[in-house]
Amino acid sequence: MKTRNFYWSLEKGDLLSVLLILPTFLIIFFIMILPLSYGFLLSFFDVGFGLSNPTENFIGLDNYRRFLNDSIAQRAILNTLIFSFGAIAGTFFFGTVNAVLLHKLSRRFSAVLRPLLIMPLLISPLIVGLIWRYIYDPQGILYWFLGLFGLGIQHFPGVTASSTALLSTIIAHWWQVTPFIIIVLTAGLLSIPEEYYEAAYVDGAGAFSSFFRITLPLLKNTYMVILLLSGVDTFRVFDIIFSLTGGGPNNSSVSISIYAHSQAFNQANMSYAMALSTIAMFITFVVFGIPFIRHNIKKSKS
Amino acid sequence: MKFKQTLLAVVLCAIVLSLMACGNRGDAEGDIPEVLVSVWAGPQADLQKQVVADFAGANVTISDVDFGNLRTRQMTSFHAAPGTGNYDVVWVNSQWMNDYVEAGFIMPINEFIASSGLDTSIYVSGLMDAITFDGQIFGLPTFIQTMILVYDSEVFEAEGLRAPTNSDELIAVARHFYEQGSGIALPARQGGAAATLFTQLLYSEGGDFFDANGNLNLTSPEAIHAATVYGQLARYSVSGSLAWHHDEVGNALRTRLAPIGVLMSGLANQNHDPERSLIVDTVRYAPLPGSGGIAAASNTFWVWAIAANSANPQAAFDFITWMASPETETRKTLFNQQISAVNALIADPAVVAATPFLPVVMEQVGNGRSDPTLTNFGVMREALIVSLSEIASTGADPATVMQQLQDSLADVDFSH
Amino acid sequence: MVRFKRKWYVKLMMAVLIMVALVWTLVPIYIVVSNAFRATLDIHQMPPQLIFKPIFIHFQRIFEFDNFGRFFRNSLVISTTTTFLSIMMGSLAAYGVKLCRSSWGRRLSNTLLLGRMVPAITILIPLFIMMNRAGLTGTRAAVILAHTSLTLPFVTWLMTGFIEGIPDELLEAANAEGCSRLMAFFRIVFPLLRPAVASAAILVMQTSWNELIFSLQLTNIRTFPLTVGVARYVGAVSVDWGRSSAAATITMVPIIIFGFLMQKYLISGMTAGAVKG
Repeated sequence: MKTRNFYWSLEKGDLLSVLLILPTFLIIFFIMILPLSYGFLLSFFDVGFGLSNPTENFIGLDNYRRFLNDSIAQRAILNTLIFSFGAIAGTFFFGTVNAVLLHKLSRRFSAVLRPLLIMPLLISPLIVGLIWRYIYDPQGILYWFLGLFGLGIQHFPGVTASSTALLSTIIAHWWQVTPFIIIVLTAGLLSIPEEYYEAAYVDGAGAFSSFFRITLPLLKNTYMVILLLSGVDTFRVFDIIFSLTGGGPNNSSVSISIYAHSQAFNQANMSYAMALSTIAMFITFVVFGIPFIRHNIKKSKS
Repeated sequence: MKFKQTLLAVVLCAIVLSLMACGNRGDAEGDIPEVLVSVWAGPQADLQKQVVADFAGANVTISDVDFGNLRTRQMTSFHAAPGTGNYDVVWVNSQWMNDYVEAGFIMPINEFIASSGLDTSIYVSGLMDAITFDGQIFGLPTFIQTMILVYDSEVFEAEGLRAPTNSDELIAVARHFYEQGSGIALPARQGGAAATLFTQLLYSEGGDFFDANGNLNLTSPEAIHAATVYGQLARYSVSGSLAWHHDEVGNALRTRLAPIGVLMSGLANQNHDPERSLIVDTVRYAPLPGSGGIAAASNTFWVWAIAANSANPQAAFDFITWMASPETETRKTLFNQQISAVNALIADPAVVAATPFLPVVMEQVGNGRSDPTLTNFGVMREALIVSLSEIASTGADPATVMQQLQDSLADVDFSH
Repeated sequence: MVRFKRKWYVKLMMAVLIMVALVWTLVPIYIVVSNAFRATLDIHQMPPQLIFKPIFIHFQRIFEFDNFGRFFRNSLVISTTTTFLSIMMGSLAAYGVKLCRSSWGRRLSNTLLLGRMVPAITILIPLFIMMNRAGLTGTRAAVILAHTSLTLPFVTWLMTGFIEGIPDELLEAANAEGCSRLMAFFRIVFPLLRPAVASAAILVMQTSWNELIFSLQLTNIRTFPLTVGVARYVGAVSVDWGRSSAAATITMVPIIIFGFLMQKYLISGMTAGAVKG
């Protein structure tokens, strides 16, 4: 009978553990780390579509300098930030309202509602964009509905005007992602002991004040995590804009991913696109990624 | 252990599927070569997919992509390593030809033409000229399109109107219907359709974007007139037009939302499809006239071209000659009312009978011309699109807007 | 559950809000699914008729002309293989992290989560060049690899959390019975991971099935998955509503059904990422 320790420590060295981690490491290395480094490297070269010898024309920081003079790229960054902010604000607001409502309903009722609510989450953002294209169509259901109130396309031009195109994509995003917030918050709400509310009730607190005094502080952590996750997800938005507006009209809804994609594959400016997406990744990491990791590490320590 | 069995089943499935994933490059059958073709997923695509089944020379797969992504897809394919499922044949919009030829994406077909004895004089000569660069032919022309007037004769008769023959009459007719609550259907959305419409109005006035010295001139009387006509038409357009592209205009006409409209002729075949159209029996066509009554097209057509990185250019050439042959084109035209570039078909009585808009299109193409192939023409066009959108949506004075446009383009080089 | 004394108007307001939420969620889905069964002329009719005679011509056309049968098979192959690879590799790696009992293991799996933050476009462009040079573009393998690397960080992280919770005694006991460590994984650890595997399965399946940006650039007409098939309809000029609705329906219905069957795990997988942090 074997008696050796089941575990091993790093100092002893053990092949099996390395072998177990190796496949994951290789995939991450070859499909993520290597392309990222290669892309970063190529952003200092002038790479078109030709690709025969990408590292031929070293141009230093020119691609990054070009970004500073490219008003569309800056517009794209700004649009992406607006999109993230608008998307997060809306989904959090509607998500919170609905989660609290669902929580107050009887369990059986919310058990029926919840599966219906997860439907949008399962649909590809591409199709979400397509669906909302039908809705925003000048001959579609939205304008028919607005027409009932005497409103028309001149009051809300939707995806056809640069003033409202980005807002239109944000609304479509709300439709898809609000259920995610609802589900996560509902799980969070379930973890709050009933006694807290009972005590507050005895103190004479109403529904609103008990929400702000109990629910919100206790769910601070959950909010923090979904804020960072939503931030990351919205900052790389591509599919929904791709299918809903394509970035138009007049670049009013172009996001950084859309712009980099079109630079790479429409304009054949591969290296400029890599510089753009490197900038996008840098912003994502600084604004959302590092706080998320720190949060995680703090959590796993405690 | 139900879980274990399920797991086992899933694992087996996954292994089988992964094996399928490996052998996936499309298995060539016997000696028949494979030809992969990229076309626009337009109103002609279904028919193209149907007829290729009859081509014996190769095993043809048609990949149709919407207009917005077509160019991207083709560009990606031109750079793909050969044998990774890149396109052998591309269906190219005539406006892209210059770029493709300059970048070396498509190959000249003179040698193939010489060895096969193909007679290229069967095609409309103006179009052949447009795809010949330095004496080298880069494809075969097909599918001519231009914007034409479409109207519902029943409504016109009831109102005692006739088809407009010059731009003043056109505006008057649009106004007549506008005052009744509808108007003219126009692709006035900020986009390429509006720019094409403006170009056509400009050419119909006998004007051009450039003066005799090759300098940009958007404030010529003809250009101002074209912009004014455009503004007036937009003003008397049916509600929603400002958000429309070609397709929506077609829908509006076919569902009787508007009794008259400016439609891309490539979509006119749908007017005769009872599944989509309420105006099958009453639809009529007229040229889109300038103030002197002359109608001229901004010529756009499509070109069958062979990708430079095709692994099988001979089979690709055989395919495009077959696709653009008078026999196949006749068949397609009779079935789907698409206008080919084969001279003989334009006079064929059966074809004319099946394609009620053919005479109008050919008249406009006869008077028409192609857009200049200048490097910065696209820059001008993009700026023009924004200006036209301004004219249509704000009712701004066309002369002022065109002057501003001219000034904003002062630094752009149009010399080559 | 505390029941605040509710006035009738509060109840009414709640009922109205819930109705609005339901209509808001379901109507868009209804629109696209019902358009798939409507005649082209009827799609543009407003107000939409609620009752109509369904037709199947759009479905027939997408299968006949647009290769949707093939796209469906491609999507199935790609998402199933990705799910399998991702879960196998992720759980084995998590087991490896547990075995080495070193704090850097946990740190590694946290660092891996950074991978979840990388915008797809940043990997796509260089990956496209690399795959193109390796002659892999246009193959399903290229997309499978890309999808696996996209989902692997999250799966590994999820599994690490779960495996950590397995009591040491269980593994020591297996060891005492002469079970090798690799055998212990398949006989003891993996069965215990069942809920995590189910959560990962639905999440990875969903991600891969719905993914667009990699599939768009790394495949060709023979290997297009469904999303790329649908993307072909969304261009600026020609949108055939009937056909694109049919295509969207074919694409979303299977994954919605799968999600319904797995909803418990879907929800626990999503909340694991957020609530437990």
